[in-house]
Amino acid sequence: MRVWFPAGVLALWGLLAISVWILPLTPNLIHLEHILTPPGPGAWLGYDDLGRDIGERLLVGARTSFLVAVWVVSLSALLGTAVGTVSAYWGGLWDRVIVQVIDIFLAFPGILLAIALAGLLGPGIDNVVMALAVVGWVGYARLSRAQVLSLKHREHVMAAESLGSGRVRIMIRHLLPLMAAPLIIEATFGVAAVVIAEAGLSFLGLGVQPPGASWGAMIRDGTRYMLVAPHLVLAPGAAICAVVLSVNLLGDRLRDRLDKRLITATGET
Amino acid sequence: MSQPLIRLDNLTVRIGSGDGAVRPVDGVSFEIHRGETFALLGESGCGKSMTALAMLRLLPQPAGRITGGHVYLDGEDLTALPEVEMRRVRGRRIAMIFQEPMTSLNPVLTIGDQIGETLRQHHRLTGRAARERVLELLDAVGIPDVKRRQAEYPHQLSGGMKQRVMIAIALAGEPDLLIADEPTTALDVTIQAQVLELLQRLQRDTHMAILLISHDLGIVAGMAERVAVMYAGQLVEEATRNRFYAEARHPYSRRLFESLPDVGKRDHALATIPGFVPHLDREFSGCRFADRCDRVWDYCRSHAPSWNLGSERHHVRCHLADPSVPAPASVVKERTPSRHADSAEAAGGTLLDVRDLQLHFPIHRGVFKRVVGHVHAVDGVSLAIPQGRTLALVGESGCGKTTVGKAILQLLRPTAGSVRFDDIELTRLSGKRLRRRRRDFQFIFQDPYSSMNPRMRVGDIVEEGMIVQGIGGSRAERRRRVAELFSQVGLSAEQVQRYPHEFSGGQRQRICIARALAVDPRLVICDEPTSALDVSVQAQILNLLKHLQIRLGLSYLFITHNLSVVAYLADRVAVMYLGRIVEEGPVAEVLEHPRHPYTQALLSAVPRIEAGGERRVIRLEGELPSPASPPRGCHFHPRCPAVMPACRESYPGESGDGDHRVRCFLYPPDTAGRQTAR
Repeated sequence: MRVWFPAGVLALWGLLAISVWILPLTPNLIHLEHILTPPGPGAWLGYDDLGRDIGERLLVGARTSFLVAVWVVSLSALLGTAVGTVSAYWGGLWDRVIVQVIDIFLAFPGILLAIALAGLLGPGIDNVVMALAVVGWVGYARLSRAQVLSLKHREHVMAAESLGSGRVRIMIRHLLPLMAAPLIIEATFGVAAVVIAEAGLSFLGLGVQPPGASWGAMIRDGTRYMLVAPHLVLAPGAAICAVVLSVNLLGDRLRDRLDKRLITATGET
Repeated sequence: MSQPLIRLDNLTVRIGSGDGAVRPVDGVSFEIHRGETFALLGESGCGKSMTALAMLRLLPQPAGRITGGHVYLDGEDLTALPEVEMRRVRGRRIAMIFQEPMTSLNPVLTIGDQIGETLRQHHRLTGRAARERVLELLDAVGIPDVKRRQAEYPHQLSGGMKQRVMIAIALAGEPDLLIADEPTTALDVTIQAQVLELLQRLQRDTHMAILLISHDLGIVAGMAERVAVMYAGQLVEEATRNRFYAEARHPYSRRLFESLPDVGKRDHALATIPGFVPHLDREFSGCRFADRCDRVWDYCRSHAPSWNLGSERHHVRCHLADPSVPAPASVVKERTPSRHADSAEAAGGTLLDVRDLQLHFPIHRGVFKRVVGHVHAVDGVSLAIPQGRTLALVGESGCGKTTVGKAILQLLRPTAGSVRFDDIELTRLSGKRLRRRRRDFQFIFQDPYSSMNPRMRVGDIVEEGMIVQGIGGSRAERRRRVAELFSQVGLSAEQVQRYPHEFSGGQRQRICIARALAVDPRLVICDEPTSALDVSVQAQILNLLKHLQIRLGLSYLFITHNLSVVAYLADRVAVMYLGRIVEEGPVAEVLEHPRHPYTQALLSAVPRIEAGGERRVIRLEGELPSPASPPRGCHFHPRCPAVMPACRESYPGESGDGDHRVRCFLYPPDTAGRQTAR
């Protein structure tokens, strides 16, 4: 139950996101006769203030949040891990500069920076990805830096060094595989954070532009009619909630599993 | 004979349940009398510690439980006592000290509080009376400056001091029986001598009994009155100390003796015990040692040997000792150990020449990380190793010997000095040129497990050196070479696909040796390669190293604290104290006629297995000073029994004849020798 429910939700999320390319959807088709119609036969989730099918818009929104999450997490994990690993392994002046940069980024409220960046770059989904990745790499950099600092004095690294292995080889073969577990866990939780951040930016009007659909934008549009037609906000709100909850539950399980394996692998000396 | 203090009667312990259940203690019986020291001897995993924990009913919960037998303390059955009563026994009647003093003390309580806890629990002592008793106890275990020390926390104490505190806590309950589980394994040999002497003195004063659990034949010889050998959950031999050391009768006990390295066995391969301790999750139909025994015959596999009573209460669990079982003649005869092949070539020229090597670590303080001083880890070390020879570097932990090894290999860059390898100055090499050179010199680490990447298959670990050095040809050729290396170090080539955690300690060290050999090195620096291993496994690794040296003409720098290994393996020995070499010479010379007072003390502190003979231990006061602020003059003078005024003024220069050099004022310096003023 603790695995199957969240895994199912996430699989559905991914599936729906992909299905958008295949299904004959008309999310922007306006049915004037259905404005603010509550859920019923024909449209499971009802129609919005312009008479568009909320169910279809929810699917398109799923694609938006899925794409943004995948892109932002991979970009920031790659960038952050690379910067953190190299910085900690090389050490010296380069490391000190990187630490300062990380501290500055951490001291600044991330979402505010993302808003500023998205505003600067102009609205649009690719700019949201950029803005969130610029904010997001810091966590991975800090984590991988801490990992490398504790791993680089391990004897197996010294053993590789004494065989004559170069620095790049040591980083890729002897450091990265050992820090993969915490990074994977961090990335999992990162997905939840990005989904919320994307919804937040879209809510503020910085993300997907009309008539494109995004969960955050749907909530923004719905707030004006919250009292007369609550289904406008409930559907995207529930979707965000389900996805974020599932990601966090799954992340917890993953952490338990990976940590356990780590203990049995190193505890048996 | 009076009633024994404690008597174990057929004690059996089971851990786990169902098919996977193991019986680490399987029908163990022995008794200990008041004032007696009884030693339980055996290698790791044979059930020694489990026996002790079962006596105190402290088995790991909930998996472990006593499934049979009894433990009688003064006639009272401890296995039948309710838990509340048992708590009054622990600490009060039976106290225990553990192997790791570092982890057995509570880090957030002062040592005075921790001793006071026992006093409060068992003697209802509080307040002033308790405080005075704490000081008394600390004084009794030889801790100086007790008033200040009792308010300190465990991290402020050295390892030896912590073990003394553990003993003080154990003594606080005034126990009748003290269980000492490997009490000195984590300590240096000179500190070990101090702690063992302390235990003996306390036993004389309080007349308590001691159950000493140890794997070290030397310690047991010096401490115990009676000895029992444990193997695979059973006692296999029990005898008085003198009888056991004069004539051990069980093949396992004999093998333990034969696998000890010493100078007399230099030309021979050490005896080893093949295979592993059997898993204790199955029923045994025959002798548990049969699969590893060199004197086994068919009968051993089908009939479990009984506990044979010999003369003078010498019990042996072996068919050879049972007069009713006729042993075939082929089994009874003695075997002679195999000789090492003679070294093919005489020593060549000097391979490694280290001169005045220094390595200082800066100490940073404050917000701006100012350098406020240096740790002089290595402070002017010179040594040379000829082709195909072994130099042993000996010293206590913290003297800088491992740092010397790493500095020679440029794994830590020296602060000053020169390291010439085959007439190439290594300290000036860097980057790619140094990396290319690395195939000529390899390092074998103390802990084979942490020196292997746990996420790599062992075959890849061994192959890596060839890949990075670009040797060994194609992938298929490299794979062939890996298989060859595996068989060379005594592993099967099918194991290359496994991961490091699937191997035992000895096998892991073999893999590390194979990895070092993969790049065809000429010099191998071995950093305590056997100190984490059991004696019989240590013998296998030492045999392997010696065999490889003869076959491949390797040179070794052997870093160790174990002087009997030095005697067995090394050609020359250098003794190190606080970053400097104090004595250096041929191994026989230095070990037979040590000149430096430190070497003399070190040698005298090594427990020996010669039966009965009283030996004089030169006891060193205090402990190794911090290398951040070494004492003025000769570093050794605060602990030296032969200290002179000159020692406090300046560091002695080198003296002695050409081959055997020593740095001590007791010996007149060379007239031509250079005097170092520092």
